[in-house]
Amino acid sequence: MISASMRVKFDPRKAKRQLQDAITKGIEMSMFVWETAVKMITTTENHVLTGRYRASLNRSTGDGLNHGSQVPESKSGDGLHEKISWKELRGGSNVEYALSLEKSFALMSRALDTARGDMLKLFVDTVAKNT
Amino acid sequence: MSSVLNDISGKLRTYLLGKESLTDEVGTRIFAGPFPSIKTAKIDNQSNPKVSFRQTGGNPKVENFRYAFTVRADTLLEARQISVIISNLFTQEAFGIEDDDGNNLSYWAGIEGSLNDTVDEITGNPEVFFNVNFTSIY
Repeated sequence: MISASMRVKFDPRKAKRQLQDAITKGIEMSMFVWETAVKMITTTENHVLTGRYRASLNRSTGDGLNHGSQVPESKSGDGLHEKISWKELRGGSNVEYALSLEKSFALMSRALDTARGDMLKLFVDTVAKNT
Repeated sequence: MSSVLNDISGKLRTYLLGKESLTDEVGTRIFAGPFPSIKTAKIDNQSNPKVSFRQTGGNPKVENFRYAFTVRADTLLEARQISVIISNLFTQEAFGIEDDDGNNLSYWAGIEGSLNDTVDEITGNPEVFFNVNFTSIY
């Protein structure tokens, strides 16, 4: 008789942690897609004067990933890219005139529409790749 | 089969005008579109709206509409109160409209981000600004 056996080590706590890490990474990646879309709209529609608003997107203040000042006008705390929990991330801009830009031109919300498909795809791909 | 709506602004205004909790505060001063600019309109002819909303996005394929709401009042507190009333109207009860063929359409409405305090750049009057995303439910 020929037989084969296989033992799989399964640690539910480790698996849970791995899945959480993958989801966190997926959210982070999809957020970058959105930020790129906001920058594209800002640039192509000629809303850029100093580049401070554009540079503030994806500059972190909360998760230790500070991308540094990209334009001389940038101030510390311009960016809003903070982890709320392992499954939540808040992205945006703390620049004083960001709200005024959003009110007038809806840059961030329109970017959400254009990027939504790519965000979901990248999220799924990233989670699949990391589990 | 229901027809595809590209713009629900008119129906949205009708819906809001039918809600006493809101009309008690603002009357009929609800404007579908951005606030009329003082630079381009004669002040005498303005309807002086308190609430304005305009479509800022959405995707007809997935049947979602995004609207930016701006509430303008004499005080920030009043603007906030009106904003909360509108937010609650959309999020605490089912939001439904009828299309041109008389079919009932239901939407799941969500506030994107938060209610933001801002000011009218021209007059300096307090405003509250927020985004609402309506997603069709079938």
